[in-house]
Formats: sequence, C-alpha cells, structure tokens
Amino acid sequence: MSELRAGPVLDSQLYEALTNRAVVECNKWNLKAGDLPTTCRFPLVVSRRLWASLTALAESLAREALDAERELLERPELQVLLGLSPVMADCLRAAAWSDAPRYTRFDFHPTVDGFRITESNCDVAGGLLEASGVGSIYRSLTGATLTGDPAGALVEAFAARFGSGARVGLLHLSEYVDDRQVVLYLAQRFEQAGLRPVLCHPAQLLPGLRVKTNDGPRQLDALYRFVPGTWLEAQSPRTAWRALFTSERVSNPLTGLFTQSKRFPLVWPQLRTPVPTWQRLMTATESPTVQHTLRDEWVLKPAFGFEGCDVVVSRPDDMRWCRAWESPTRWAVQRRFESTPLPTPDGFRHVCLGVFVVDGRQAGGYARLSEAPLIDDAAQEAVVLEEEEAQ
Amino acid sequence: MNKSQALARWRTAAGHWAQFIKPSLFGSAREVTPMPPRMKFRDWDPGDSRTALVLDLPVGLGLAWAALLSHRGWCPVPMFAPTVAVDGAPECVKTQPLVALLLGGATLMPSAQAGAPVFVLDAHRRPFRWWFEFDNRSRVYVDDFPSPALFARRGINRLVVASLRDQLQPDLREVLSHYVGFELCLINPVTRSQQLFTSMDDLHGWPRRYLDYDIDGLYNPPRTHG
Repeated sequence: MSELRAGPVLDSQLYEALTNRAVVECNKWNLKAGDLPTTCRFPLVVSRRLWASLTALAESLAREALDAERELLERPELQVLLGLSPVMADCLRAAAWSDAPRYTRFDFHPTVDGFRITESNCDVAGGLLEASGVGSIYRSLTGATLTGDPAGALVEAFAARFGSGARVGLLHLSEYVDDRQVVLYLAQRFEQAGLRPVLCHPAQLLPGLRVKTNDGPRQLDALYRFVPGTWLEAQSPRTAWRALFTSERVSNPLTGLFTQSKRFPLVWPQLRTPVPTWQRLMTATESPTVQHTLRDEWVLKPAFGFEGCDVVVSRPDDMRWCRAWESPTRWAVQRRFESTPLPTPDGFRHVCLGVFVVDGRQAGGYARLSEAPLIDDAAQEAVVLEEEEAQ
Repeated sequence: MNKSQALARWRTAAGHWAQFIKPSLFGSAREVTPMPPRMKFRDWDPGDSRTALVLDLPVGLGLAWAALLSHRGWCPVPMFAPTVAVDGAPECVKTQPLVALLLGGATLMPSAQAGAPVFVLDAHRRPFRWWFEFDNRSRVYVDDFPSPALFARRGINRLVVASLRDQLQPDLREVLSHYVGFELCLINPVTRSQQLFTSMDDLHGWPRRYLDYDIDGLYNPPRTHG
C-alpha cells in the first residue's frame, strides 16, 4: 500500500456536518472549486515515515530560503534578476533584515521521479484556515490524527515575539470573501491566545504601523499580512504601505519576495549561500525564450503569480508567450514533470501536498487535488492525516 | 432557527447545486431573529427544466420568489456575499436584515430538490472594484457559477436573468458572456418585458465591455495567495 493514499469517504451526514460547521465555526466560505465541492469527502493519509521525510525536506528548504533571502538583501545586482517591478525593487532596496515571525508552505508534487516542488510560498500562503480550522472539525467528527496546527503555530510565534496582549493588525483586502474568511479565522485564534487582532485594509495604513479606525488612529504592535507584497504597489500612494518594507514587525517580512519569485533558481549560480535541497527538488527553471515556446516540455509562469493564474501549458499560440518575450525578466519557464496521479474514491487525482513551516519548524499539512496535472484555484482540498503504518 | 440550522436547510434545498451557495453571512454575522420574506409579486413561470434562473432582485423579493419556486422543484441557491463590517465601520449593504431574511427564508424551504437552479443575488452590488475605501457590497464572477459544461451535463442550455432593471449589471453581463451557445434572456418580472441576447455583441454593446473592466484590466477575482 502506498505511503500516500486517499482515506475513507465520509458518509453524507458527516460530510454535511463538516461543511456546515466549517462555515459557521471557522468562516470557511469558498464551498466550490470549479464545479465540485471545495473539500473532498475523503482525507489524504500520509504514513508517518513519509511525513517525517517531507517535513525534514520542508524545514531544510525554509532554512536555505532564509539564508538566501538574507544574502539577496545585500545583493541588489541579483535582485534585478527576480522579476520585481521597479517600485517593488526600490522598496526592497530600502528593506532591512527582520526577525518577525515567518511562515511558509512548500508544496510537494508526487512524480515518477519522486517528489518535486515548483515554488515556495514565502510571501503569503493560503491554507491555514483549511489545515487548522477544517482539520480540527474533521478530527472532532472522526477522531483522526492531524499532521499539525499551522495557524496555532503562527499565533504562538506572534505571542512569543510580541508578547501576550499584543495588538496585531490582520491586513487583507476586505472586499474579497476568500481573503476575509482567512483573517476572520485567524482573528479567532489570535484572540484565544490572548492577542488583540485588528482587521484592516491596506487603505487604513498610517505611518508608524498605525491604522485608521472609526475611533481614530490605532497603534499596532505587529502586522500579519494576507496581502501579497507585489499587490501593495496598487494601493493608494497616500497610505503608508511603503513603510511595511522597513518594519521589523510585519509578518511575513517583505524580503520573502526574493524567494517567492519563480525566478529564484536563476540567481543560484551567483549565490554564495548553498541551496542543495532546493536544487534537488525544484524543477528546472529558465528565463523564457522563443525556443521554449516551441518545445512542449516547458511551462510558462509569471515570476509572481498565484493559484495557477497565467500559467501556460502546451499552448504555443497563447499571447502570454509574446508578453514573456517582451519582458522575460517578469516570467519564468519551468520544465514539466510527470505528475503521478493517486487513485481516490472520485477517480485518479493529481496531488499537491503542502507542508507548513513556521519559524523554521514544520507545522502541519494541507493538500489539494486536481483531475488535471495543474493545481489551480479549481483544485479541491483535503484534510491531511498522519498514519503510523499504511494499512 | 439559528445560522447553522438555516444553512443546513438551504443546502438541502439546493440539492446538487449546494456548493454554489455563498455562505459568508452564515459565518460572520451575528445571530438575529429570522424574518421570512413576505414580498408580494405577480407569479410567473420562468421556464422548464432546461432553464437556470438568476434572480438579480432586491433580497426580499428574490428570496420570496425563490421560496415559491423551490416548492415547484427548483433548487434555490442564495449567493449573497457582502462583507460584514467590524469595529463599527459603515455598511453600504446592511447585513443584519439580510441575515434575518436568509434565516427566515430557510424556514420556507422544502426538503431536497433535484431540479434546475435558481441563483438568488442581491441586486445591490458593487459596479466597480474600489481599491481605496471600505465598500462591503459584493460582486459576482464567472467562477461563482457552474461551468457551461456542468450546465450542459445537467441538460441546461438556457439562462434567464430576472431583474427590475432594463439592462444587465456589468458583473453579470461579463458572467453571461462565458455561456456561448446558451439562450440568454433578461426578463423584468414586473413589466414582463424581455430581451433576448443572441450574440455577445448584443450582450455587451461595444465599447461597453471594455469600460466595465476594472482598473487592473481584469474582470476576475484576484488570486491573492499561493
């Protein structure tokens, strides 16, 4: 039996209970993925041995990324290779090293050649609500063993760094319910841990890590950011978003953009920092050329893209290739790998097993499954369980 | 009936369209006293089982009509998603009355249905994406609705929008433009006037489509995290 497999299907009553409780108790609102329900009716079960192996890899990746980020901060000549916009590059040149809490998620794809990764999520990573919130409800319904509680680990990291009672801004784009649901869930967890969450939109940012509220300006002790760094420049210049780049109280620090870039592998040859785990697991990455367009083995991606958006697979006539030729530094091509689909009760599914790392330590898993070998916003989600021995 | 029970009722009534419900109000709003929608309206038959209906109406009217249709075998799918304000921020769309209507509407729902869907929208939506200020009105995107392939698999090839306006709202117009080959129709349930859209040009009218786009050139929800 495989060390990674689909677990038993929840009966319809339990599945309804899981879905409804997730909505009401932890604000899980995106109930659909493509045409399917977002949450799979079955969990993904990982053997203890495989989980230990993947989490060790994730921790190594996080450690290497952190070291590389620290070096890149001092190497502006390499920063220009990462696909940052001029505004972002300018902001990052002014940034300083920060020891604010960091969390990331590394997504492992099972392939015929073992597990592969295509990126990190060192800037902003989704899945906390699903791994911790939906997972805890699943556990309460079935008694199963989860792989961890990444939201809990993140909250603990904030409490340890900024102290109990710290006022933490939860920065997000409030008009999008998919983002709102995440910070509302985190607000619950921050409150339970004795911290004081303040929901805020980038338009509320004031200098000195303060936010505008109906009761006047409010000082924050720290800021959790669920807005990608590359989106900040779209905000009004009248707001104080630029100050986030130099603050030591913003999580994730915006220097995480260096390793978030799909073009991060292109600076490896010039980095002094060794990144052996990345080199072993990351699919081959190059800067796009016309030759890549003509060869089916390459996938085009924006340097800073999210959820599979603007990814071009096997479509040489797609206009995004032209955009990539015009501005190759804003894009990357990655060599395709042969994803190994997993048999599930719903048929074969391509799996992406995310491992959260909070301040260097693994903190739990989050899985997405897709009929096609591309994990995008139409992928379903599954609770990840740990099993000592595959049965 | 509390929020949890109401959500269960709505999901049951929505049948195999349940995943298209937008449930944010069941999660984030405070518990309120249910208020069943009791709007008066002229009854009207929107079509047969090959028709999916979109009620782009004031919430009370939309829910009252959805409740009536649900007893004729239609599957009601509420899709209200205004952001519930915190810290006393002003709401363009008052969410507490909306929750009361949703909870009240749930009491009118029958048990499981297997018919065509009735998507119930709040007509008070945001016309553009505003970046710089809090605006709790929602929008609809093509990703919110079943794909053309799913509609086709379930025998649906006609989309009817019921609205008190003479024209489609921009976000809904963009959504409908993805249903190529479907019969698309806008109906005013009060005046009974009808518009049939036989081509995408009918639907948009140049250059309207381009003017409707957001400032970032997209007409999709953003992908904001990995």
